[in-house]
Amino acid sequence: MHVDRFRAVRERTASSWDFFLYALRRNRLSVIGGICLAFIVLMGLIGPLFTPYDPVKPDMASASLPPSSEHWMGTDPLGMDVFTRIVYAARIDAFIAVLAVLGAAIAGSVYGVVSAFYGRWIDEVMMRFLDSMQAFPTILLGLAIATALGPSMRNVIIVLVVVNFPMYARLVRSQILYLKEASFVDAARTVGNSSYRIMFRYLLPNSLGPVYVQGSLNVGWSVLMAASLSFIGLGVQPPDPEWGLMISQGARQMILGEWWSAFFPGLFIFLFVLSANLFGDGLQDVFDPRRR
Amino acid sequence: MRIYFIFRRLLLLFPIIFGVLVITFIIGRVIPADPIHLFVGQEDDPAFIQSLREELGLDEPIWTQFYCYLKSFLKGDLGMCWSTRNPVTTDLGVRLPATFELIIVSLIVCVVLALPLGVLAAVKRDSISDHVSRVVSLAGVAIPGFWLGLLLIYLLFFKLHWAPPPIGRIGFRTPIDSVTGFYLIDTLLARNLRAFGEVWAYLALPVAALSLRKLAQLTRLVRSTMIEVLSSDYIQTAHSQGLKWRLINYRLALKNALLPPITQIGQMFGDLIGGAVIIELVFAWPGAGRWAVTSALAGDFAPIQAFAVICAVARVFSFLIADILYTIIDPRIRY
Repeated sequence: MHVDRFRAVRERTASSWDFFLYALRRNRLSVIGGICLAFIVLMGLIGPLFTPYDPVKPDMASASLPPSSEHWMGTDPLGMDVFTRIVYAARIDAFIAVLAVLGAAIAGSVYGVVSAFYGRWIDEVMMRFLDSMQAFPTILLGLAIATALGPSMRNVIIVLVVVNFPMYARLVRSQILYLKEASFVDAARTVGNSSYRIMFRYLLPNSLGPVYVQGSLNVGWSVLMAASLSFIGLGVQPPDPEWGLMISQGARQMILGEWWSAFFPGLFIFLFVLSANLFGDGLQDVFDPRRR
Repeated sequence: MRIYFIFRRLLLLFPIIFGVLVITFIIGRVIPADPIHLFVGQEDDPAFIQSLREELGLDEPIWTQFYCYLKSFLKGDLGMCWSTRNPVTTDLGVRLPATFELIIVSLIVCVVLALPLGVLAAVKRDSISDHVSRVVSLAGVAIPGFWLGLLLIYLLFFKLHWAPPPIGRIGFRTPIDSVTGFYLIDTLLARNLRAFGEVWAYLALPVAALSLRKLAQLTRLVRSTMIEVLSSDYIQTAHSQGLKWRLINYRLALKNALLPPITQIGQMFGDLIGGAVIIELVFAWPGAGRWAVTSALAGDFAPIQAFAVICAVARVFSFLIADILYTIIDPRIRY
C-alpha cells in the first residue's frame, strides 16, 4: 500500500512542471511577486553597468543632495549616490539571503534526518537542544553569535544559518518519522543498504517538498534579519553597500529632514521581502496539496 | 489534574534552561578565538587582561569553566558590565522596566486590534475590509520595523510636529519619581496626569513601529481560524435557530477561534523582545535591549549574554502560560 502511495507521489511530481505553471497562473499575486523578485535580482546583477557612480567612494562635494535627475535617489552624507549603492546592495543582500537559506536548509535537513532515523535517546537529546535554541528570541541569539564572531558579511550568513536551521530540522524530522515506517525503507534495508544510504538516498529526497516551501518563505525573512544586523552595526561593515547599513547611515539625517538616504534602501527591503513572501505563498500552493 | 500538568511542565523547563546555558556558554567561550576579548571591552592593558583571564578562569579546562559558569548563574551572578562597572544584573534591573513597558503596551495593542480586525475580515469575507486587512498584513510582515520607526519620526515629528522627539521615554523637563520603573504606573501613583499623557505620547511611535508586524500576523491568524470555525456545524445550527450575529460571532465562534492565536500570543512575547532591541535603538529608548546592543558593539559580551539568557527563560515561561490558558479556554484539552 505504501509503495502505491509513493509511486503516486512520484508520478505526480514527474508531471509537476505543468502543474507548477498552472498553479502560478492561477495565483496572480505570486506571479507579480516572482517578477518583482527577478527584477530586483537582475538589477543587482546588471544594474552596475548602467550607473556611472562608484558605490563606495565618498565625494564630499556632493554630500546630502536631494533626489534629482543626476542622482535619482539623492546622495548620502558622504556624497555617495544612493541609487548606485542600492543596486550594488541588491547583490549583497540577495547573496546573503540565498546562501543563508541554502545553508540552513541543508544543515537542518541533515540534523532532522539523523534525529528521526536513530530515534530514542538520540532524538530526545537532539530535540531538546533545538528547544533550547528556539527558546531564544531569534534576534538576540543572532546578536550574541554575531558579537562572538565579530561583524562581517560571512558571519551574518553563519548567524542566519544557525538561527534558521532548527525550523528545517523539525520539518524534515516530522516527515521522516512518518516515512521511515514505509515498506520501501524495509525493502531498502533487506537488500542490504547501509543506514547512511537509506537516510540520504531514500528518506531525505522524499521529504524535501516542505523544505522548498519553507526555504522560499524564508528568503524574505533572511533579508530582514541581515538588514537588522547590519543596521545595528553587527553585520556588513561600511563602506560596503547593504540596505540595512544604508538605513542606519541615513537614520540621523532622517531626523534632520534628509529623508532620502534612509527611505530608498528601506523601500527596497520592503519590496524584496514582500515579493519573496508572495512568491513563496504561491509555491506553498503548489507543494502543499491541502491548499490546492 | 491541571496542577499535575503544570508541575510536569515546570519540570520540563529544567533541561531547556540547561540547554540555554550550554548554548550561551558555547557562544561566549567556544566560538571566539580568544574569549577574553569579549570580556575586556575597551581595556588593552596586558597585565589587567592577564589578571582578568585568571579571574574568569579562562585558562582552565573547558569543563571546569562550564562548571563555574553554571555555579555563578545559580548564584545569580551573570558577570560584569565593563562600561558601567556594575554587575550585569544591577544594570539589567534598572533597564528592564522600560523594555517591558514597551513590550506589554505593544502586546495589548496587538491583541486589542487584531481580534476585531480578524473577526471582521472573516465574517465579511471578500469584502473591502477583508482586502484591506490582507494588504495591511502582507505589507506589515515585509516592512522592517526600524525603517517604519524612522518614517514615523520623519512624518509625525519632523514634518507634522504631532509626536514628541525620539529621545526616550519622557521629556527632560518632566520630573518622575521612579517607584516601579513603569512610567505609566509611576505617573498614575503620583497622580500626575500631565506626565501620564506625556508618557503615552512618547510610547506611541515606538509601539506602532514595534507592533505592526505582529499585528499583521495575528490578524491573519484570527481570520483564518475564524473562517474555519464559522463554517462548522454548530455555528450553522446557531444561525438556523435565529441567534443574533453578534452573539454568534463573538460569544460562540471567537471562543473556539482563539486557540491557535493564544499560542501565537505566547510566542509574540519573545518576538517583541527581539524587535524591541532595534526599536529601542531608533527611539533612544533607555531599555535593556539598547544597553545590551551598545555594550556588545563596545566589545562587552556579558550584557547581551545575560539579556539573552533572561529572555529565553522568560519566553519558556510565556509558552507555559499560553499552554495553561489553553486548558482554561478549552476544557476539552486535558493533559
